[in-house]
Amino acid sequence: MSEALLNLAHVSVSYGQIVALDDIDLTIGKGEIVALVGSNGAGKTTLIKTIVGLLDPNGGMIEFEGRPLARMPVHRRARLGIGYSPEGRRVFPGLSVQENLEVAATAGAKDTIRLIDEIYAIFPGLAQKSKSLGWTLSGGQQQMLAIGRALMVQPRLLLLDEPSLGLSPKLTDEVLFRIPDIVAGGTSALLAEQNMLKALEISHRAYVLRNGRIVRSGRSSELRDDNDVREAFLGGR
Amino acid sequence: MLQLTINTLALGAAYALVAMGFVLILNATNAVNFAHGALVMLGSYIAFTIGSLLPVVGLLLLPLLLIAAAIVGLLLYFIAYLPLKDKPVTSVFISTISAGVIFENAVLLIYGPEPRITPPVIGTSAFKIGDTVISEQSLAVIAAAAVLIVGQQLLFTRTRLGKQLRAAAQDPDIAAACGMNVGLMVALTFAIAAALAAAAGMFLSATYYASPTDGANYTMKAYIAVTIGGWGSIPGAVIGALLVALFEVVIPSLPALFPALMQAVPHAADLFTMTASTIALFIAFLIVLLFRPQGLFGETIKRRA
Amino acid sequence: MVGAISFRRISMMAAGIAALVAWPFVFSTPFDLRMYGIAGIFAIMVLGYQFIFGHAGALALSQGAFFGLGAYVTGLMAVNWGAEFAITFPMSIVLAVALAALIALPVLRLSSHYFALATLGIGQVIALIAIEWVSLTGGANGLAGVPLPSIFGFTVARGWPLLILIWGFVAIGALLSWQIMRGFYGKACHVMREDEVVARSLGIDIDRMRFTMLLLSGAYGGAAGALYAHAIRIASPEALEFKTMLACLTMVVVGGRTRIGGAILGAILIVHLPEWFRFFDRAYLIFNSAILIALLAVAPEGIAGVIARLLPRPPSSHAKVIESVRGEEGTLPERRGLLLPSVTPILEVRNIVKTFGGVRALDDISIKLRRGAITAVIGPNGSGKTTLVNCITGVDTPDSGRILLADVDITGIRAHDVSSRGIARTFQNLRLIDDLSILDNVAVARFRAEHVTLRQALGSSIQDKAQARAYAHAQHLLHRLGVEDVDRLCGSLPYGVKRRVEIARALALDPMVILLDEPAAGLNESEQNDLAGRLQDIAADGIALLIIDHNMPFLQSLATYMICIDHGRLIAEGRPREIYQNPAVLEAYLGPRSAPLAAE
Repeated sequence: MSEALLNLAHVSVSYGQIVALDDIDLTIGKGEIVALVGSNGAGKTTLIKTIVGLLDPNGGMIEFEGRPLARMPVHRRARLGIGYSPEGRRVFPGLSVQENLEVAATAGAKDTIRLIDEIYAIFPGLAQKSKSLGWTLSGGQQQMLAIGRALMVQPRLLLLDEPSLGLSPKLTDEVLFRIPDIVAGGTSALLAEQNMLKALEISHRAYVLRNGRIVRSGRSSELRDDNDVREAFLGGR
Repeated sequence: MLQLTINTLALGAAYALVAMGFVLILNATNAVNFAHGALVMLGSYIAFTIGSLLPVVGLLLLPLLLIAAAIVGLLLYFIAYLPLKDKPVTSVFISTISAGVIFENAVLLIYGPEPRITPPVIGTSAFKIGDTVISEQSLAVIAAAAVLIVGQQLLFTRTRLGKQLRAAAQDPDIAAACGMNVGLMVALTFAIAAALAAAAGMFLSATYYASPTDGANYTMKAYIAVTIGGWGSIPGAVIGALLVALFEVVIPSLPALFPALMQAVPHAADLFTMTASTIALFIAFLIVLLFRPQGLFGETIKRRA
Repeated sequence: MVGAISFRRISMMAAGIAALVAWPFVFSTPFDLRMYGIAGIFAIMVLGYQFIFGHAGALALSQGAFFGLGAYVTGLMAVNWGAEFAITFPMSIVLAVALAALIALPVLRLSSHYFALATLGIGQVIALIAIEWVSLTGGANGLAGVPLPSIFGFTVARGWPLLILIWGFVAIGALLSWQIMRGFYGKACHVMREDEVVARSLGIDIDRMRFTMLLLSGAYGGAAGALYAHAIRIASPEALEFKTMLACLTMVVVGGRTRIGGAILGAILIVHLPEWFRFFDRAYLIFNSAILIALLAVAPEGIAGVIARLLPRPPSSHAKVIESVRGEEGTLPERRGLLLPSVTPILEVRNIVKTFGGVRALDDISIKLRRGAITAVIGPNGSGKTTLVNCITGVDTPDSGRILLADVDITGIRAHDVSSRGIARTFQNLRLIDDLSILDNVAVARFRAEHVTLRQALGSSIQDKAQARAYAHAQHLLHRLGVEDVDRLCGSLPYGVKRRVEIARALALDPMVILLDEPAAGLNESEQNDLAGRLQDIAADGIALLIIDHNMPFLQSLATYMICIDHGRLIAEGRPREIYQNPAVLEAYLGPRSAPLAAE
């Protein structure tokens, strides 16, 4: 575990009086896909936003590649190699697909073009729409753009917050099952998903969140068949 | 007619620079910059000062002016926006009002209240085509403003920095998560907006003279232009600015254009003064506000659920 | 508050009033008296401005216009027609109020910056007209020769007599402001300014309230302007210029947005500071503005606010207040008794469709709620549950379909009317007003029931019976929900208590239906059981409950009926046990290819 890419220890986050996350311990290794599952309000988005830096923890420690992230501003974390596809996609509505990708690039002009071409190769649907403005895209296209944009920072850790939200089952499949390919080159991914079974299918390990706490964790293949987990997910006990 | 068109275009071009800067700050911060007119006024005075040190035409002073104004823009960012950016938006509104007062009184202290004139862009000669008198200044202003507007557009649509500025304005949190330093972006936006405003100040004060109290007037005009043209839209701001100029140029000219009017309407001379045209402009602005608050070109950004 | 003023506060107020009275004896040169008079005039203007800017929380930039109009009306009538004070003064007020009404109707619906600049624009137009219409107003030089006020033949002389007249009006204005805002009406205003959505959900008509506040600010502005014309003997466009508005804004930010003492303090300070700092000369305004920005960042509630924060909170005497209305009608909630579930639904949602930008958030949804029944609505994130609640409560209007409450069509009715007809709600993120007490938060819901209006506020006695009754009613409900110690401020309460306070507030509306948005979120297991018990209690009284949540064990024992929504459509309905097994529901939540869970 000393070589963990991301390490959270005793992390707590509160909104005023309300405890959103309580004493979270979580690690992600290199090249791993880790799923974060739990029902609405369990704290998945809160956890991801805290790693990104949009929320401040009031306790505990977060380390990325051994470096503590405390008080590091959001844009610096991104440049360290943390890519973020937010809940609800949030593509830049007034920018075209091409521009959405460009603005997230930290590399020089030539490398940026190469990166964009790679992303078009992964998502051919985006290539066709490269000049369309963000707000005109469909939900599925926006999701692909959000992931592509996150990839532009050449991340070593990709954070995906509920990519299936609002997507039809077919689109959800398209997006989710693409993820292992995307990260095949050694990138790690943390995937927060309401859609538990699919998330468990594509991930190596998983954590189950309930009411801000981790109640189960382990290999995804084991958790998938565990009846208790399913009940915990739906809120039982 | 040609005369009116040229005059309107010249005035409108200068106003367009002011309105554009106003919209840039609005988009980037969601706040109305009440000190924007003061930035125009400061531009006039900086131009005047540089002009008295370096006796060259305005065109050559312009680069220096833009740089100096950019610095003032950053100053405004630091004193009026940064300390209050997490407070409710009305606080920034009031703080920019205060900043405007500070600028106005600083200038009053240093320069005194008499109006000043800035160097013309190229020269003051004029030539005639038929009945129309076309001044070099008008043409120069139209050309220079056009260059600046095109330049601004190129910056925002062709360079990565410009696109990042737009992205940061549309969604600051996500922009940060994509690696952009949003605070820096906003500061830069203030700098660019101030530079555009200053250029407008120099162009306008060659003809209309500059005085320290001009600020509020220009701010109102920028606001009117942006509201009529379309809140948050840059092309809308330009169109709105041209409309404002249209009111100011055309209404006072109506008696001369239609002498029959003078006989037909009682007190016609009173109805078509400069001030009357401003009143008419305000009324038109209020009508737009009430019936189509999103302006002629609306909000170009829509959201998909 | 009502009789609840501590010794400290009384002595502070007494000291303040003593200082105000002593001031003109200490600074008694004719020039000093004149300045003090101007300060009093501005205090009146600022007291008025506090209504719209402080209490209603709307950034209006119209106060200068009212002030200037008042000055010109008095000037014109006195100079041109020799009218007496007894005529010019009321006319100044009436015309200023008329102007306020004129601009309020179209402009108040606009959101903040549109509103601010629209009011500014109107002020500018009036200023320009004043300069242009030279024959009427004397143009840029103004209308000179405005006489001193003449009351029934007696001329109020310069110096002490004028001062007493002005500060007499300050006292009247202050008392009036205190009377209006100290009771129920003031509390409702407080809620409106802090949280519009909550205010609407409690039946408060926000538009009407803001309108009233703007009219009040106009009245005070006009009065101040009239006195100003008399004091400086001229009605000039300067009064209409933005400078005046800016001074007013400075005074209210420095002094305090809602406190009467703040208005007076701010006016005295800002009027006198240029004199005290005369050596700063021009730089004074720079200094002034810089201080203003600093204050905005550091102490936005003004000097009066800072002082108030330092004073201890007054002990409450609500027990005495409630005692005074014991036994009166309206102090106890009606007990409807156990109602048999009726076949006729109390709330019916028929085929509503709601589209946002091309996506159907609600797609042909129909729901029936019956008295005494607890219906649960479940569904994954983004399924449309919140949109459903918003349509029922009037926050959004459905594109098609109907909503009926007790057989009356309420589709498209505005939110505050829906609330007063009998639909209450609680919020997912607990929207209580942090700087009001528990009792106040709940009592405000009785606003409509007690017919609270401006007139009622003006006429209410020191006891304010309406508020007392509301307090009694609220306390009863809070006691029933197990919340005691009701004087605590809501900001510092634990989560579980806040949740119960919110439910008490919903009950205080005397509703037929209560919509609860994720009421169990953030509660531990024993708190959840406690809440479930209380909700069953409430349903037993005959109220229909609609609960949105995803906490299955919480809902399973509580709900009598369950509805599952996904992608805006109703995909399953029935008894909770059945829903738990329903494959369509499981698929929506977990993803397809999942087997039904073992039966309980």
